[in-house]
Amino acid sequence: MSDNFYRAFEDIHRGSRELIIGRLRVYLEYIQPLLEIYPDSSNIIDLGCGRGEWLELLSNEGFEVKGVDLDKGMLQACEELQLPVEQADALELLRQLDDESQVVVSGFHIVEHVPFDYLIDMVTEVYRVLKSGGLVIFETPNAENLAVGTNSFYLDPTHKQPIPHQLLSFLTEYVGFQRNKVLRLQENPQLAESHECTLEQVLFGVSPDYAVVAQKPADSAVTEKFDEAFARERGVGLAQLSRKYDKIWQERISALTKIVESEGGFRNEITQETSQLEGKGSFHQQLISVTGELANVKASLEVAKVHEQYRLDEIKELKNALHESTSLLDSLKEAKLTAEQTLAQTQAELKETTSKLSETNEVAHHWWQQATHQNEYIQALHRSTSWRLTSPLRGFKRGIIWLLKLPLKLLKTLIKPFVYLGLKWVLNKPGLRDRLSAKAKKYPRLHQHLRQFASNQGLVATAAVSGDEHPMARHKGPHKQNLTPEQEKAMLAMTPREQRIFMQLNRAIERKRQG
Amino acid sequence: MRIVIDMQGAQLAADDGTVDETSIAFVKALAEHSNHEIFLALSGLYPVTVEPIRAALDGVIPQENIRLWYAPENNAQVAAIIREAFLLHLQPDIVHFANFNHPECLPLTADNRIGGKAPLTVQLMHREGSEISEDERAYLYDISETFADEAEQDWPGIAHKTIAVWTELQDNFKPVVQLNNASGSKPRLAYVSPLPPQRTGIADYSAELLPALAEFYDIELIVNQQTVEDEWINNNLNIRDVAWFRENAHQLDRVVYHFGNSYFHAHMLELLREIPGVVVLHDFFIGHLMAWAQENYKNNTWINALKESNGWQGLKAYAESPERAVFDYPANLEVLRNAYSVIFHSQYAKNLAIEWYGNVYDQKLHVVPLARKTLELRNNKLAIRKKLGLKPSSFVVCAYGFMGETKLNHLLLDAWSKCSEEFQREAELFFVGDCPNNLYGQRLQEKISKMKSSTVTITGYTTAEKYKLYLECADLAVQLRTKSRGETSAAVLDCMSYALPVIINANGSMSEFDNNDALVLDDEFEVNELVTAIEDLWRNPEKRQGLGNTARRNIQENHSPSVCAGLYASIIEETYASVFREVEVVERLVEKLVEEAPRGLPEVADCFSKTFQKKTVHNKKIFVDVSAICTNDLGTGIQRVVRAILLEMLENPPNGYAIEPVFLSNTAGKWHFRSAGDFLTKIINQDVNWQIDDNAVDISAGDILLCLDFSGGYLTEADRYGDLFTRLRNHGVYVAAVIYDILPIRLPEVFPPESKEHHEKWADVIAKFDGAIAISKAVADDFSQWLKETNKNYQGRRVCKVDWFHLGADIDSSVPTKGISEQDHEILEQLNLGLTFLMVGTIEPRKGYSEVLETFTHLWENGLNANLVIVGREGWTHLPDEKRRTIPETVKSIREHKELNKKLFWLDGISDEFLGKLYKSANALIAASYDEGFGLPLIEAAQHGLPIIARDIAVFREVASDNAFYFSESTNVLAHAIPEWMDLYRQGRHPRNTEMTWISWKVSAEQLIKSLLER
Repeated sequence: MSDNFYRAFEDIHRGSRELIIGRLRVYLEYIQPLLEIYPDSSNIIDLGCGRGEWLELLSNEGFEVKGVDLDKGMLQACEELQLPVEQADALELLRQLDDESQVVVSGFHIVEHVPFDYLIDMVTEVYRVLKSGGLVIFETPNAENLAVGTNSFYLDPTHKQPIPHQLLSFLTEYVGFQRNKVLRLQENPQLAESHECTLEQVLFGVSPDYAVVAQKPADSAVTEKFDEAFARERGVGLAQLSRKYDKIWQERISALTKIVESEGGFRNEITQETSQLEGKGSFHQQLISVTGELANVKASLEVAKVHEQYRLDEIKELKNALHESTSLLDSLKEAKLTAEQTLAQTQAELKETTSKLSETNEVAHHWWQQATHQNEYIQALHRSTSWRLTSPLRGFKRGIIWLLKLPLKLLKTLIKPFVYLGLKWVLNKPGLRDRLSAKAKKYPRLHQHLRQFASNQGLVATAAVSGDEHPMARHKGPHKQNLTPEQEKAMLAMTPREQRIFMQLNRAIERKRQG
Repeated sequence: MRIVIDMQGAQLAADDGTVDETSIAFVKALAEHSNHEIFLALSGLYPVTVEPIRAALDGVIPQENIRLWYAPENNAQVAAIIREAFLLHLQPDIVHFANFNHPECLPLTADNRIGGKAPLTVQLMHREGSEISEDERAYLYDISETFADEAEQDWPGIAHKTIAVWTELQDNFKPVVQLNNASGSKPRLAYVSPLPPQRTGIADYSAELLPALAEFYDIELIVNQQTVEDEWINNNLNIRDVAWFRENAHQLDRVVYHFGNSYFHAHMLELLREIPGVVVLHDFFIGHLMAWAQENYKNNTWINALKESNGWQGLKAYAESPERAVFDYPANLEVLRNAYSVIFHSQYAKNLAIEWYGNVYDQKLHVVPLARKTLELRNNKLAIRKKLGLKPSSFVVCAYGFMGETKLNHLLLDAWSKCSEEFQREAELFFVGDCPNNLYGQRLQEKISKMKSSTVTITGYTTAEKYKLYLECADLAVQLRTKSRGETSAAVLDCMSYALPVIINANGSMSEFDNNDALVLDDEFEVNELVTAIEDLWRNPEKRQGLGNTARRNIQENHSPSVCAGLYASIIEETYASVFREVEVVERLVEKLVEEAPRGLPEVADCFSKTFQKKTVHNKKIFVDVSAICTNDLGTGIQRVVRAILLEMLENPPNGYAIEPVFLSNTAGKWHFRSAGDFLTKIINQDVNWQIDDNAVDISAGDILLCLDFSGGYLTEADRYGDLFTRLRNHGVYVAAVIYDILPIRLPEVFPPESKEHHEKWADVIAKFDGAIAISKAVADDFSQWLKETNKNYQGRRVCKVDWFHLGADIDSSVPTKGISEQDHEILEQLNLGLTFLMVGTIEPRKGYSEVLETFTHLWENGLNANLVIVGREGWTHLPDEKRRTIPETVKSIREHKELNKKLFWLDGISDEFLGKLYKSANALIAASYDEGFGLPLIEAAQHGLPIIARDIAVFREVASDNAFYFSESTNVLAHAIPEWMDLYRQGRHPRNTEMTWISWKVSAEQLIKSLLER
């Protein structure tokens, strides 16, 4: 690639110099204490220094800086600013440095450009050249952001593979760094503050870059100066966003549930009204029986008229009682009318609630459609050849496709185990599994770590399973030896018989050598 | 006598493109004047010398008898080891070194000398040159004198003399036998088997056999279990795990595996691949084992085994019902192939191997009877009966073993209830074993409960101890079988060893017992025969005793563990004395390779596997290239042909051949063929993903490669950057391609601009093949002509055989599309008003659309009342207009035609159903192509009874002969031909095509295969 291609590419895609310097300020709180601790020898190496924004910033802060880059076009920009730079390979340059000679080694957007083996060597070298308490900073695209991980990462033809932050931070732990911090960067600042969260944001709003800052072990007197910086969380992660999204939906659903429940309350009220109306019916009965009694009384009156004049007063009282009963009946009639009106009103309200509910359903359907649409988009991406050719480390994307197919409430439980899905995906592809496993075995701790995880998750059988029930659990398969990458590659084009002969030869030679 | 002639000297003596005339003349004379089998061993280190030798001997000896060995360059020691092992691998009776004294000829290594297995002779050309050391002279017999007559060219005489010398040498030859027991110690044997307490009969079997086998071997037991429960074994033998076996295999002298159809043997599948040995196959069908391994270990184990063992039929059965496939298909080929030799327990099981796989493995199949210990007989029947709660006076009949449909328990019950009342009063029947809890079991229980007398008992599961008690106290046993799949009945042997008379039926391996061992009924006996047999033995105590005693004697003599162990030892020793063991070659190579960095090991492995070929089941394979269709099935005409023919080939593979679809791959920068497993899966069922392995394939001498698909780019790349086809042909593979047409070369003006160049590149590759099989005689003639014009067939190379076959026309594998719209109906009605001419095919220059349209325009202007219907898509829409030749113009003239949708109709993308209607309502098909590979539209028209007007080209004449009306530039231009045909048509005198013939895809595939095999 021509030298200036990369610079032009960077000019388009990384924004103006000032903007970038502004972004780089994030790191200052981490590295400023180093200036106090090592006032006379605060050397910083920036690998892949590009146009030198970082060098410029650090130089202004008072550090002794040096940049290294392979791209001549980039270095021109640095030289124009009179920044000390060298055209060299990062790893080779590191190898030339003395032990414990640097306070910071940084690399912005370089780790995704190099093969993984090279990266391991590089981190190991960085550890060697850092002073105690010194820092390594690696910034790289955040594949956790699905737009980055599935698309924009591949816009740069020189990108090798996305490095998930778990892998990069683990790598620093693995070579010996005391602690590390994952800084998620460059997201839309409103995203963290906002209480809203859309599916689109879940899929594409995660911080598009991240950095791992790791510190070499030092006395606690030294390290405590950094504690505050290391404690601060920043950026927006996928888990965080999806949890938020999940929460919002849970709230919406519980609100909906409440509406539904309150609708139930209405229903209860109506039932009560109805039973009251039924109670009024029994009043009718009572009225009828009262009327019957009155007739009896009338009859008694006739008797009384004939026989007992002196009971006239009593008759008057009875007349009054009759009058009272009639007015009671009127007021009851009125009450019934009111109750009927209330019932009609309640029914209208119920209808309104129902229509609101169906509206809400439509909104939910809209969301569902949107999710389906995203799913299709991702599947279309999945089908494209160039995508298929890219690195297998994208196991987590498969997880998302899964996610979108699953009911909402499962979202949360499934967000976490990306590593699980990735591993599972790899383990289900025997060829890939063997290749990756052979690679991982070169780094026993890494391998152990992954294996432990896989075994905890039940992805692989543990060695302790009783042989009697599961003979295969104890069956280790053909013993693979240490092969060179060329040999591993050559094996892909071998017939199974050829592979077996090759392994046989290799094993026999190894045995002979060991005597 | 198999004569193996090492040709390295002859290869070195020849210049580029020529051959060593003397050696070739000698081989020719041998082939013509003797009936001996001749193999030539050529060095793969000199590839350019191979083709001239193959060409010179083409038709003299079979090409597959010319074999190559390979070695990495610049390592003479490694090359010498591989060559010697290779010569031995060819199993020679005599090895002759032609023209051996070339200075660069590899020496023989003194410590090996082809294993001392065959006499070695040499022809020294310049005796004074003495490049052969004295040491070598000691075992190399110089036959140069027989060549004294060479000057007179008396080759028959030389051949006769040489054969005489060889015959004498061979008669007097004593092969070097390596005695392992020379030091007096026994060979070390790895014995791989499950052992007690594993719940399999094979574990108990091994426990009985091992003490006897230990007489012959120092035994290392290889187990995949944590504990072994057997006192003798624990006290006397080393018990090792699988890892130990892998590490120490090179220090063991012999290996024997016990395979059965259960998961206790799963670990042995991979072990046998890595460390071959003698296999004892207790069950011929191992589908359950494979299914288990697939379920629990690797997700395509069984599928791959089915594909390899039982091919297309096995896969189809699996697709329909795995439950059936597990019973119906043995899935055991890999075990048979990897084993040095295979031991069965019955002739019947051995015959199953031959039935399934032919006689490829004949030589390595053996039978050793199932071993049975005989115990001292305790004459205490009554005491035992008392212990078991049986009546002392009863006549006790037993049927041993787990009950089930295949044991025919229901027939025994039927017979029992038909026995006489007198018998019933005295006799009792015991089923000693568990009754299955299924429909069959319920039926049996019902049957028993309905019987009048309660004389039948099912004991349920018994311990080994109790089982023995029943054997000791019974009077008679009945052991019936049906649908045997090769397993041997241990229960019958148990009865025999206890001198218990037994009635059996001659099913499966039980047919190998004779009437001294048991009372043998026919395989499919009548119930009454069983009744008679039971009552006969009941009445005849002497007969029972006699039968029991002879049976027991037979067991003692032929089935005792020591007899069986002796048989095992002799088969194992015989095997190891004669078998070619790759492991030994590996060990010898490692001695030389250990010094160097193992960087070149993949190359050594490549050389090794190509040099030492493994026999496959059918001996040979036809690899069918499907590179284009398996990556991208566009449903083009060619791809439909590929699919149809491949299906027919898979359904009916030629005798002795397996069909394997493959595709070209450049994985790891090396062009090679890989198995098209996914494609094969897709043909069977679109919706499954079986993950059949898509490994690189081993292609052996004698195999056939058929480039059925038009894989243009892949093919030329593989040739150009991998020299793949030359390498395959050198190796002895017959390479052929199907030629659909060479029209882009012949008529470049009707194809896009670069087509000619691409097609020529492709044809250049095909010209180097052994065969080019065209889809019509016309194309074949055209291709032959092109070969002649371009001078492709020249001296020193085998000629490309050009042949042809026809395509099928019976079924179209694609599903016909449905649907006729309102508008379509209107068009049909409109067409019915006048004569209608139909043209079918993509609109591209070759099809002659513009000429036809011009003609019709002219005729319409002159008052012709007829319709012209064009059915076809616009062609080459993916190309820019400047590359599309006349297409834009033609399309424009259709679109802007004033008769469009009046008399001229262009129907694009119509359903097959509508097309069918058009065929019916049209009056003639016009086939105006300037040239074609074949004429399927003509056949389709004939199938619909539609008359044909065709351009007079060879291929249309070939397809339609007199069944069409022809027009051409020279005789009858179209403008005249149409009115002329219409006149004939009105008079009913136009050519009909009711006589036209076509063939099915089945016949088409047969023609193609015939052309491949008859050469």
